[in-house]
Amino acid sequence: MAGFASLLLTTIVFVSCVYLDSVEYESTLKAGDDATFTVDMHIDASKASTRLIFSLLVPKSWNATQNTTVTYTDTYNEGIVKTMSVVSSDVAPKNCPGMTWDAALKEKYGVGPNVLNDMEWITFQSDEMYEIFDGDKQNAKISIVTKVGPENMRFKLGFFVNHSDDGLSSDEKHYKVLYSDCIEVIDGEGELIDFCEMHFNLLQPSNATKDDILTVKFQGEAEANDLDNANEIYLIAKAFTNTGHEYALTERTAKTKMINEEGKTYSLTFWAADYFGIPANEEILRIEYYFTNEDGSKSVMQTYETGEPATWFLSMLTCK
Amino acid sequence: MKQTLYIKLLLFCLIGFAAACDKFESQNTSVPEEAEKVIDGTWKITKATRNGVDITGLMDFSQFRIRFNHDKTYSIANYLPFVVKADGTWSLDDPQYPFHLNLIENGSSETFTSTFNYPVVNGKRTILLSFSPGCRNNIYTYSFEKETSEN
Repeated sequence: MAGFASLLLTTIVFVSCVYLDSVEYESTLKAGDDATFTVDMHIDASKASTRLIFSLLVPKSWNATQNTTVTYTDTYNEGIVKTMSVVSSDVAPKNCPGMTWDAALKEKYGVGPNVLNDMEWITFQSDEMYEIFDGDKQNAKISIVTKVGPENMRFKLGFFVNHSDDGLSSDEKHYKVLYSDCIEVIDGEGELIDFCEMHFNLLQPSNATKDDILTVKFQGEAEANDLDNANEIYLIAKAFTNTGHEYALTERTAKTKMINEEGKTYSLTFWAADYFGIPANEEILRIEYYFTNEDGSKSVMQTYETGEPATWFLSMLTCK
Repeated sequence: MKQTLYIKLLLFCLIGFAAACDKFESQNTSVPEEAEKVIDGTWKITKATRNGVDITGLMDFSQFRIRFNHDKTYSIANYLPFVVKADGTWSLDDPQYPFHLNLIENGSSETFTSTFNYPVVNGKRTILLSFSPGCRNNIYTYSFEKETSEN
């Protein structure tokens, strides 16, 4: 009985709880500026040799691996600013062998509440190894400084804390995740890329060239529309290249017929250069498109609250 | 009498252990050498991901073929976005423990590199290649299985 009590006590003491208390950020950021985010966290009752793990979910176009500095202060050594380093891509979380931290977090959390997939989890670990003893209760304040990407966009950042000795186990006491509200980048390049809200149209990946495989989606759930009762949806599209040429696919055939993914969501996936027949010496600058039913009698196009005539949806094809 | 029996048993065990130790020492302790990875043959795509998202069912990947020949040449049929666009020569960065596949198109001196993984999936040898044929931000991973007729 005493042995059982001892085992139980050991089990309880060895469970470390990680808490993500709050995140501070500006709701509007300027393209190209340095942005600072602050994360408050604490760890409760643990016993291990371990490193603090922090991951940030950001748009891929920010190249945050190269453009981010993470420091922190803790109650172990108050007043001392400590550093964190990017976890190498050949280091797997302890409980996800064979996977990178980005892949493991993508598998577990995806891109959180964002509706576009062009985001990545960048993971950092404390340069200092901690010897944590039973009953320790320590606080940490993590400061993230990263260069805001060049594009106009709206998105929700993700913040994740864990420790290396756990490495994304099945016990969620060891890690926490939190997402920001919608943050907007202003004064940047191009049309607004909206990761926050679902729209009728979606082209992925948002950074691409003619040699990428593109997916164009019609998301009928966004709101009631003229294609609500359509049995088949077709993509009508034109690609515009850097030589001023235009390559159009305006027929309603098997080639332009979209696949019903689920509900009112349809998609068409294609290799851009092949689909539009783009010559080797030309690059696609933009794609314009709309969605129509089988006889072309009903369509969904880009509409404007100002009452301007509807236009084709526009997606720029850029690689940053 | 019991004590004598105990001593006899102890001696028997000690002799047994000693014999076991001798046997162990006589074993060949050399570690078998890792075999070279043989990828000769024609391979087809069984799974494709783009930035970690499975897109296999969204497009027809079934016709693409890459053939690795024993003389280190390769050829591609029914092209899709891939590491290279033309036929050429191939090599692995390490024949026993490869992490990268290097491809050079005919008539070119430029080497295109893909990460290389060679796991057994569902009892079948598989090649996983990751690369960026378009924008460098987009990572594609194709899983290949050897054509059934060549297994």
